[in-house]
Amino acid sequence: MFAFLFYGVSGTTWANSASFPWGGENEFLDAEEVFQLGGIRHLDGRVEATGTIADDYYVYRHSLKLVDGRGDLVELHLPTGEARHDEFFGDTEVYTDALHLYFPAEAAAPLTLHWQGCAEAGICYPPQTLQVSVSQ
Amino acid sequence: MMDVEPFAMQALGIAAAVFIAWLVTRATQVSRRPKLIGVAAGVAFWFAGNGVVGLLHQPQPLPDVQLATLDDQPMSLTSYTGRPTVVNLWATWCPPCRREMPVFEHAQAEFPGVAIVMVNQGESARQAQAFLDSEELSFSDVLLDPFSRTMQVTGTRVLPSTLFFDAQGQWVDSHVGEITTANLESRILRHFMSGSQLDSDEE
Repeated sequence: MFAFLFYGVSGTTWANSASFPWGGENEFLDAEEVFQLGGIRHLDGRVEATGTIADDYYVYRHSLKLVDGRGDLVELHLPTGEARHDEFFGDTEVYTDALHLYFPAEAAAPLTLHWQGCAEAGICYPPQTLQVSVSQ
Repeated sequence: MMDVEPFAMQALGIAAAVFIAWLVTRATQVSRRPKLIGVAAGVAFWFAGNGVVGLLHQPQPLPDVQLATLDDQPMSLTSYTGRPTVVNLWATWCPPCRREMPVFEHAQAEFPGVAIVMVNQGESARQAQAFLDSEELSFSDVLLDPFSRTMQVTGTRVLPSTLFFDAQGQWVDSHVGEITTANLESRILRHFMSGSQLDSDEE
């Protein structure tokens, strides 16, 4: 009962301050929760990874770039996305839910995936990166 | 999520403290010191609650980040101290930012005593200017922040975000995401028009 009460009084502000130190409202996910990469599989000479996108968020297809340990662009095979007209990018493609992406197995670690996306509710994330771990 | 007013929080804190005092008192009725324990617990709780509120409402000044005007003159947000200031963080690649631009252009005309400062995050003067030209938007205060330092300093992770500072340069409110004309106006009225903040500008 005590714990419940205490949460009732202070929970909202703590939740706010944790995600947005200057207060205000923030019902949006952190970027790390929007787009996650997993399900790494090695398939004859190439690697398959599964990207998972949170509900009501989307990732721009053109924003996905894989960079190897030397800073060189790694060839990335991406599925066709959902067609969308964007105020800035014009006719573009986005991913929602999940996508499989493929790249050559010989790509030099560490690999960094660049991405950019938005929430349908009207916010966008600045360009993000995530580390791709392809350990056998 | 909801806005939290310090007053409401304190009232809640006091109410909760009284309730807990009652709970503890009731639970320890066989004891010889029920009231003392109850009151002590309540008071402790109330102080803890106030401490949290106090922390959350610590004054946050206008961030002292070195920015630049579209014609490459250095400028800091601290130079707006003295006027109520609305800082909008935006980028041209952000569709909701683009959509809400006219809301700020409108507010700029509606509230001449309030500085409406459009701080671009991470782009060049050329990119920002090209966008403003193509949309025929006219702002008196557009600043560039090529390394998105304002986002870092204020802990802002998404665009658009709008921060409100009073005439003393203290942060009073934030809005995350696309804002409507009604929402922006109500916040300006609530924070900046209730007192005498604008009098000096309008005299």
